[in-house]
Amino acid sequence: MWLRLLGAFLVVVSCTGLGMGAAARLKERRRLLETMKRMVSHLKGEILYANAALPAALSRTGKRGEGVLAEFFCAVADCLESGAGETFAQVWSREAKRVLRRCPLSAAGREALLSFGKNLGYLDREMQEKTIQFYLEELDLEIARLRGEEPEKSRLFFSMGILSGLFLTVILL
Amino acid sequence: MEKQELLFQIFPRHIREVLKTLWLEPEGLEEIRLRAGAPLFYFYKNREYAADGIRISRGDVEETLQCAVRYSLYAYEEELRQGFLTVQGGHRIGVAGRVVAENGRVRTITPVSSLNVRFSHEIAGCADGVLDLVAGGAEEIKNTLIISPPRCGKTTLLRDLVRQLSNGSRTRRGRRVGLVDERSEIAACFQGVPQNDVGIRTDVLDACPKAEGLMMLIRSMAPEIVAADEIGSTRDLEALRFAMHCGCRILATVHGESLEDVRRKPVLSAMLRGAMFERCLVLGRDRGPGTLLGVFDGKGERMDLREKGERLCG
Repeated sequence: MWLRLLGAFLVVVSCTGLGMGAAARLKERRRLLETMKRMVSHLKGEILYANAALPAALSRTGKRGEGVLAEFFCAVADCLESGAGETFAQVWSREAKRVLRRCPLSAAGREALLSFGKNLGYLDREMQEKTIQFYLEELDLEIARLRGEEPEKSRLFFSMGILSGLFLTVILL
Repeated sequence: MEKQELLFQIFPRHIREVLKTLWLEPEGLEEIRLRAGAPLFYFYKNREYAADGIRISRGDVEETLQCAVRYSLYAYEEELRQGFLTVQGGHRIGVAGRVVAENGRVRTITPVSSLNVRFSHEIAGCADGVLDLVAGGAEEIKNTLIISPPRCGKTTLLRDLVRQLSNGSRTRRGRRVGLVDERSEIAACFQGVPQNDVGIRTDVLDACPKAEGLMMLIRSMAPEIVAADEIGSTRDLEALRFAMHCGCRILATVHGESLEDVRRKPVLSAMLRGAMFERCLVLGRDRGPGTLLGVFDGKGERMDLREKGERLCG
């Protein structure tokens, strides 16, 4: 009997944990996008104000940032500086795909990041400004959407976790 | 990294492969020219060659340009308007193609159809032969003008003069040198830090218009010598005069075949008439880049101090 109760307790706790994990990922996704926004704004300053070339701008932005995105920016800058002869779009998409494996980004977020890299560096400064502005707006929209959904979804994931745990217990008992 | 590989970083991978098969010594390589629809030409040890096995397409030219500027052409807008850009390592790329003009002013060049990659070579010690002419006594430094046609080593000579005067020697104390490097050719700054050795007492204003730069340096860094490459405009002349009144000595270079040729140019002739320059060194390439054709004093008299036609960096 005690063993059964212990089992049931563990099932409920782990399911609740799963639910909380999902809610935490949601929060992490928003935080990541906010960091991205900060870094892209910084990149914009580097490009438009300091007129820095992409490797320098990315490496300085990467050094000021933190986490996986900072690593990503620095990795792209290093690849460009090493002068391996690859195009910027190639380097960006390769490194982005690598970093995305460790990021809780949505499919749309991934798409936006990849297409941002495809257009960066193309034509003149005005074009850079537009490309960056466009990506920043996309990020803003996504952040606002996540902020709106977050409390509701977090509660949902949390209660789903508990309920599914209870449900499983009932079935198993 | 190997020197050759560093030079070839300007080019995209497939052109790099072709260049590697030519087995060129980096020191002897002067120019590589890419023209859409034509073979790849290179100047090596004072002769022109065409590379076998490659015909340059328009895409190659475009890709090379992007690769050379590390996919940041936007950062070179101002330079592109002048028709050339300086990339990491101090190499200069001349650009030609269809010009997009706006209100009579060049806005950009696109598409680009020809590139001329001119390699910058730092030759430490190439100014040894003329150092005594420029720095007469232990204290005295002459205002010096280096006259030479393109590709004859005037920037190389200026760089080494700056380096030696800045470092000083046993008999000569080192001087504070202010260097205005408008085209980033002399010091080849990358992110503001000189890549070439320009001496331990040299302050560099990179990518700065010469006239403004000279004034800024004089006000801010109190140099004893100011140096600038390829002077020629009235504003340059005024800035140099200002520098002279502030007690600075001047080292400068100018495009020209000979002293007579420079005298024919209105602005420069005014400088020469005023005997602003106490030494004029004329370079040519009779025996390769850096051949000293003549040395003139402030009055334009030839000084027969050296054997004519001696090569400085040979």
